[in-house]
Amino acid sequence: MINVDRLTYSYPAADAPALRSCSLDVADGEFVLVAGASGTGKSTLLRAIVGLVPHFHGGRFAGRVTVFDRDTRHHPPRELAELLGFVPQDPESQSVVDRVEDEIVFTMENLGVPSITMRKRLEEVLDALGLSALRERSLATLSGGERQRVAIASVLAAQPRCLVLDEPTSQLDPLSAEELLGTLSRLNHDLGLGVVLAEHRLERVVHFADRMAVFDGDRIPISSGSVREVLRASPVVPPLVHLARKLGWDPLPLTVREGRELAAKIRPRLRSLPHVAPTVGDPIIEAKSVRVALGGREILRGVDLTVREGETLALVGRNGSGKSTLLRALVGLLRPHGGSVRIAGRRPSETAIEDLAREVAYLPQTPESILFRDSVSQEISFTLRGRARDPDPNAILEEFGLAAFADKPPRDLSAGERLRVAIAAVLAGDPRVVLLDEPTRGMDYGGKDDLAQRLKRWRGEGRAVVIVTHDVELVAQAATRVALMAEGEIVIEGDVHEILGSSPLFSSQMNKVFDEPSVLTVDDALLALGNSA
Amino acid sequence: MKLAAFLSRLLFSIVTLMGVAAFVYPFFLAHVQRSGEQFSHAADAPFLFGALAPLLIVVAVVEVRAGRLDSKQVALLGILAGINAILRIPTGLAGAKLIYVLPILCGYAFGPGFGFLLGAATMAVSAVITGGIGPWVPFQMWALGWVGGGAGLLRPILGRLGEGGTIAGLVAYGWVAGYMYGALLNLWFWPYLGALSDQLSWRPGLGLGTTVHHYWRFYLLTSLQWDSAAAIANAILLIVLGRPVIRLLTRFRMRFAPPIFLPAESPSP
Amino acid sequence: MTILRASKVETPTFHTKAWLVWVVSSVAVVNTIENPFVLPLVFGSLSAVAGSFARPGPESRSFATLVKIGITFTVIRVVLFVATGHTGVTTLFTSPELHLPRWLGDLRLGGRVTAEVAIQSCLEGLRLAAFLACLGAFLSVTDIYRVLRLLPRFLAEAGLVVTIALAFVPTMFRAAAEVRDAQRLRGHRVRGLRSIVPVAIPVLASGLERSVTLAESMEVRGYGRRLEGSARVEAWARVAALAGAIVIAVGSSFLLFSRAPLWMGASICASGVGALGLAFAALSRVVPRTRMRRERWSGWDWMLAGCAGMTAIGAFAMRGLNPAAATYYPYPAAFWPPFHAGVVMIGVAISAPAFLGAARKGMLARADERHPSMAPKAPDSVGVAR
Repeated sequence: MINVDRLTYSYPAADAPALRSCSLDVADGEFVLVAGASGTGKSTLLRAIVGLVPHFHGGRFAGRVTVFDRDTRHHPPRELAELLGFVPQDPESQSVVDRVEDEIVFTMENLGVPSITMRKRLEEVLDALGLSALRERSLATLSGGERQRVAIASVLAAQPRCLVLDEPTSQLDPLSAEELLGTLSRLNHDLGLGVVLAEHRLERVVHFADRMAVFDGDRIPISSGSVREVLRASPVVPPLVHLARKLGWDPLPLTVREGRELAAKIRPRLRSLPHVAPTVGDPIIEAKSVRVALGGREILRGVDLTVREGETLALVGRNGSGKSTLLRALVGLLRPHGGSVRIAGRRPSETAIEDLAREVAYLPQTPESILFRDSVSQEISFTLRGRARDPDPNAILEEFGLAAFADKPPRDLSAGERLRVAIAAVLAGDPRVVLLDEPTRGMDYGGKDDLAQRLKRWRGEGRAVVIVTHDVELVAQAATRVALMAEGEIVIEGDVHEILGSSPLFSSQMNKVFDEPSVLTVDDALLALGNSA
Repeated sequence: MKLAAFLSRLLFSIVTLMGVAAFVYPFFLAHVQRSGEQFSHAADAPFLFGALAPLLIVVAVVEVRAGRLDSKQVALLGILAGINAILRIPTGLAGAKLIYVLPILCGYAFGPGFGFLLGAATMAVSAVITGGIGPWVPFQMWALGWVGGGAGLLRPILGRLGEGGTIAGLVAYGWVAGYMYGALLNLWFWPYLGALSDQLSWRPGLGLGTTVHHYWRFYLLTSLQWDSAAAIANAILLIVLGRPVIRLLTRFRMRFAPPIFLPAESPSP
Repeated sequence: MTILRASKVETPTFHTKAWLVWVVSSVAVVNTIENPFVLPLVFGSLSAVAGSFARPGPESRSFATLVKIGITFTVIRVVLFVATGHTGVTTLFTSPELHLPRWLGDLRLGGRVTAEVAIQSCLEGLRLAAFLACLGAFLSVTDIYRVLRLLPRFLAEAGLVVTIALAFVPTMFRAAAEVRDAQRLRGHRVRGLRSIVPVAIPVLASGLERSVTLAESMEVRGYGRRLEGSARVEAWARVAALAGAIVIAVGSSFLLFSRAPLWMGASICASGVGALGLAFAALSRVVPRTRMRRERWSGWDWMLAGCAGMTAIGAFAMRGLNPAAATYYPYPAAFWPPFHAGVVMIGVAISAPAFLGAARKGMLARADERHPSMAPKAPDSVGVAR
């Protein structure tokens, strides 16, 4: 019973409205998926439902949002806490205290729930989310997925009628993401709890939703309806639906299983694509028997790795397998106690990191965290100067499409623009090796396509790229080789088609649907079927 | 409403004065006569003020905002206090050099109340983190609170000066604050030292001139160098960080203007 | 809590309030009994308690840290005083003198070093060290978050600020290290003071962003509710606090400046404190937060509180009834302090928690032995929410 009626809203000091004449209806107990490219207003809409907009963020508010018969203009978020629970993106920034139990109890204490009732609800909520074993733990020791479950638990303790979640899985690895979404679906079915969920990786969640609402570009009001209806015309779609639309499949398949049924009919038409070996140069990264220990434990146990110029290597593996550690060891941020590393012709153990930076670029996990200058051009010049290059940023601004923002403070831009600035800032100065740590967290499909294009271009320019990622679709689109890590060792390494093609679990949607090693992406599939892309 | 604001300020002023008294009483007790062998109660002054200081800080904290802080301020205070409290560790407990910068700049950007609370919160959190909880903590809270609050009070004056002038003004303030902080805190435990040394100690009844003289010697011997280093470090840090941080904080503050409600658009077909 | 082996029993700790009573009583003992014989006993007892109940994690360092601070302070104090104070009869040795010029304070350093000055400054320093050690032991054995939860409701926000800051500290370290590494890889050289800007500003900016998310999360979880009519109560509370503050100021002046007897000044101050107390209580009543009881108060906690109470009373009684044994002032000539069994008992009594804890552990171990098959098994592995 949430009703958004022609909502138009602008943040304070913003040029353009974030939402324009937006309308949406959510019935009691429905699971609604909100989708749209970055910056189109999903977060703002969710915050408007909960009341954070306008009470918390200020700004100009026109229109009406009614939540279970309460108008949010007259009710700040704290008065709606028993009706709605809100879970934002980043599991780390939400917690107030350090203990799981205390965090869950915080909500109830704010609401003045009597002590005995608090005890009972605490136990219920711990069971509902499978957190009983973690109840005494400190939040800092939990994984991202566990912390998100705690966040859900803490809003669930107020017994709301609907949960509102803003991209809850974007910071999580695929396994935790699946678990979390499964939990939400279960809460929706078993408890009749409504769910309003904003998400980029639609392939994970379309089959759970009852209804879907999509923001078309340019702040035009959203279109909503049943999931298949909306997907038919939506600008953002998961790979399988994209292919289905091109091939005219009806009804649109939402899961791999449905896709396989439809694919079975056209399998005979499928040709195997010729394998084109990528042109590679000399080895530019050579790691031999690298052993790294951290905090008394051996994280890397003898890793051998060779990356050549023009290669794009994807490092994959579960959390804790040592991927990020390997990346850091390659660049000299960690000293191996065994083995050797050569990168761009130098040894990190003998070269200062700042000098190595001339040839090597490293994009950290939250790239926006490094921005600090007052304007985008200054930010880029900073890197150019650090790399001993000509400090004129204009070429880089052009290349990344940032010329329009040259004088704006980078932190004031939208999330997608900020990310582009961060990538530009890190990559300015023509490095021969590029290392990326989880670059697609929270990225929409458009951003991922951009990144994949850029990576292909670099490959053509002879740069070596190593990406640590969980994102299979990115690996399918951009990588030439894949190395799978587990327990501090590289378990298997090889061409991307081989690795993805031979693993039923770790594979792209297209590959799972068609079962053909040369088909990894939608473009591959269309080519193989003889259609133009 | 006006009356409430007046009462509030009055209370805070009185409590601040008592807080000041808790630091500088050795000087104004100078003329109290000692009555015979039995020390007068004046000699218990250190303990009296030691017991009062926590009470006073509680009243000050409550009065400044603690009953009326909203979530944004609590979250901001918490995170900034956390960042600032860590800055004490690099220089050890003896030199509190880095922790002035944030209270001064935040006091300037967000107001004297916030600056005071940030200073006080920093010391409380830092005491917990470093394990240095002792009777000096309320005094440290007061002292750093004043450093932060003072910067906020300077805002109307410095605000007219343009960016360079503001930074220069804050740097000067930071320099002075470095010395004042050290001198005040030294003053805290000086009377506790008891009446042993005829050259250094405090006793009620010494006379103002002698008291100042003794304190000057004590200060010279114990902390002048540290405080000079602190004042210099402060000034340098403010010069280096002042401009970018003020810009950052000002931009941050502008994001939270109160909401404006507009009438809805005409009904769509 | 997982019990790993059936026969291994963990020492259960006491209720935080019981620990609070204990630490207050220990501090009272340290302040009241000046007899030097109590000092080694106090330090020993505190170490025993800190050792038996220390919690895992960085908090357990508090005891060692505070003891070190205390010892350092004592050493500084002794040196300072011995160099500048020369009263007393027993000369230990005579050092060369140094006379500082007028503008540096006209100080005479060095000269006759007397035993009395040395002993008294050492004892006073050690007393402060003992006080700090009490606090350190308390911090080592209690959970700071539990202590913060004991704050009265009108200070709940202040407690929350401290809690948020403490929970944020480990994150901040990691964030700062990541930023520093990333900036180095942009070619930034960390040298000189200017170079902290590319690390400090991003960390500060991320902190600000996080505070927004945190505040949003607090808002939607109901933080900040106020009861109807609370504004009026707050106004009255403020008036009461004002009156209380003025009364305390008057009372303190009485205590310090006039020759009036102690009870007059003290009672004026006390009434001022009372007014403040009323103001605080009123403020607490209008805060609509509740608190979940996290700890249970058991018989053992009564025992600890009782022991602590009696120790404190014993110390006061000793000071009042037998000052010769309780106090110690080495002037005009140093002398060997009297040995009194009562002092020893009081010093040892501070280690009551260690004894009670051992007894409790013994009882649990014996109960465990009698029914080994009933020991709970470890819970299932971290639940997948299915």
